[in-house]
Amino acid sequence: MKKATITSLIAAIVGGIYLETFFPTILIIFYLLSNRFKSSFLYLFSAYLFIFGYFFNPMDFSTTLIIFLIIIPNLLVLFDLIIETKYEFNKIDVFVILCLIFGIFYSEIYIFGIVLLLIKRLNKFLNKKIIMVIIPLITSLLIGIRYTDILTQNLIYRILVLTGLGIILYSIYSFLNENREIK
Amino acid sequence: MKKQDFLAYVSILLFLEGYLLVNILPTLFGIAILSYLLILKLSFDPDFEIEVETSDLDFVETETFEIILKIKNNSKYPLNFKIKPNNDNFSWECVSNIISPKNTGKIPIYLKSKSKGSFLIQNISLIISDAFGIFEKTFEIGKSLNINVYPSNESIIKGIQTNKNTKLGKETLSSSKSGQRTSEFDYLRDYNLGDQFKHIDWKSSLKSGRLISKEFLKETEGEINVLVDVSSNFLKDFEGGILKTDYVSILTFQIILYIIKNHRSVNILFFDDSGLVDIQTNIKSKESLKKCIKDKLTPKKGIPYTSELNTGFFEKTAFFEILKPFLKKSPEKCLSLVNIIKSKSTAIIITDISRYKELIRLNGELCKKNSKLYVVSPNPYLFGIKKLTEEEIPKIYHKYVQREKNILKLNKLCPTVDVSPNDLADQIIGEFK
Repeated sequence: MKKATITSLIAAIVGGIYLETFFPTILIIFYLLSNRFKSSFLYLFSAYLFIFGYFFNPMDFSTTLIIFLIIIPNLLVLFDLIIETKYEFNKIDVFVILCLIFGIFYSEIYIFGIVLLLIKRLNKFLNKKIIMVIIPLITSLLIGIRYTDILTQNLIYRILVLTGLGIILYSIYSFLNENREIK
Repeated sequence: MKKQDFLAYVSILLFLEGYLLVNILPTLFGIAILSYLLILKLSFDPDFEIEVETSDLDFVETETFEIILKIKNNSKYPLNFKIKPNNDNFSWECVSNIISPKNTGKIPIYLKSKSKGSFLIQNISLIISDAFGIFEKTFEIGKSLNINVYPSNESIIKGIQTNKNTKLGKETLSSSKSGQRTSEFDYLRDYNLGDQFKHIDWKSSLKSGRLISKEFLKETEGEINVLVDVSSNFLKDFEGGILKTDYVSILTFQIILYIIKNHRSVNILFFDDSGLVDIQTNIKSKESLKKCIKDKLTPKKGIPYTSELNTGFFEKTAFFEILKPFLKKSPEKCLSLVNIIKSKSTAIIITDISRYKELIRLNGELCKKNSKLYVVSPNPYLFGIKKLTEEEIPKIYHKYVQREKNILKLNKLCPTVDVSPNDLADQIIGEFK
């Protein structure tokens, strides 16, 4: 078990507790068996995502809260388990863990902690300029969606709008991949 | 499937799940995964410098040697570097290494040669992936290495043994010299490694300028058995080529006649894929030999099966392994001949080398009985193939090379000769005169 990656696991579990689900505790098994099922980890994790979506429906919570409490922590777990290098465990991690634990009482502290963790993780591995463009873009888009009338009316509309956004992202991704193949 | 494609498909399925279950969670998961892929894709632009470090490029075949690649990562994020093996003459052991941005790292490549010779490794390819192993690119370093691999002492000794067995096989074929050496001088021949020094004829050696050994007459202690393959596959002829079956019958007749002359009696065992077909013991005269092999070696219809007999159905189907004992015909049935051959005897088998796995087992079984095995194999390719197209030539060449390798393998165990229509022509004609 990699010591440094516990932060993401704690974030996922605490986030789950805040949204009244203990489903992310299953991730402990992934951590324990990460070395044994390294080759089939992606399959198992995608199965986890599908099952999570089947059993847990956070209808009563806002989209922003779901993103910060469930989506980002689970994605960080995915990062941690497929990355081939080890993260360094330092003081910031301790601070983040404290923020996450106190987040059970105040969600704002939790969100602060998870944003800090996300920045820490992505800082080392990704092109900063792109993060500076894409993350604010997606966040502003989500906030925009959050406050439109369409979304507040019906859940299915909300899903359809988000799926549309996903399809745009997929198209961009496919376009970039095709470019690579031609080269 | 690549990791990137898998994650993209998963996100699409998550969108579908979100829509069908009226749940926002899977949809958000899908968007998060796609965003992550997109960011990673845009960030992935490897920039590096490479230097190849090698000390010496001359090695012995059993030796594992190391080539070190010194790589400087000029990108702003860590990259995983791995070498892509591109030469089949070596077994590659590549270690992947993650190099941090602006740092220099070393990647060792451990190479072990599969064969001897001088090899050129052209354009070493480097696979570069991100730290998550999701996106990767292959680059050619553009440097070539010329590596000389010398034979090891062990392989030289093995080679000498093989060479000796090949010579011995040929001698056995021409004069059937098997059995125990007597003190009666027979003739002079070239020195073979392993011959006793006291048998070197120094006078002849000085005259000829090379080592000459004395060969003594030999007496056979045990029985001599000639095992003749009469399976339909072995007795097929190529259309338009020289008739292999006729040659096999002449060869069989010739060998047995020699043995009768030198050792008085011989046992002939005819076998096919179903096991023993016929046995003729104590053949002592030319007439009885003629009677014995009459109508046994007749050409069969069809084209010879030139690749290994064991491949395909026989080897790949695990189910066949269960069925083997109940089948009438199976390649291993020829092993039943071992029970008939007495201990401390000599066996000469005339069959195709494509049975080499069974021959190895047969030799092993006979060795347990203190018996010797000599293999005579008519090479079907040397008997002519009528239709040769450009596409078939490389295939036939590869099969021929494989056959030669099998002969070498067999020669390490027992004397084996591959014969063509031209072999033994003089002896055969002389005998018929």
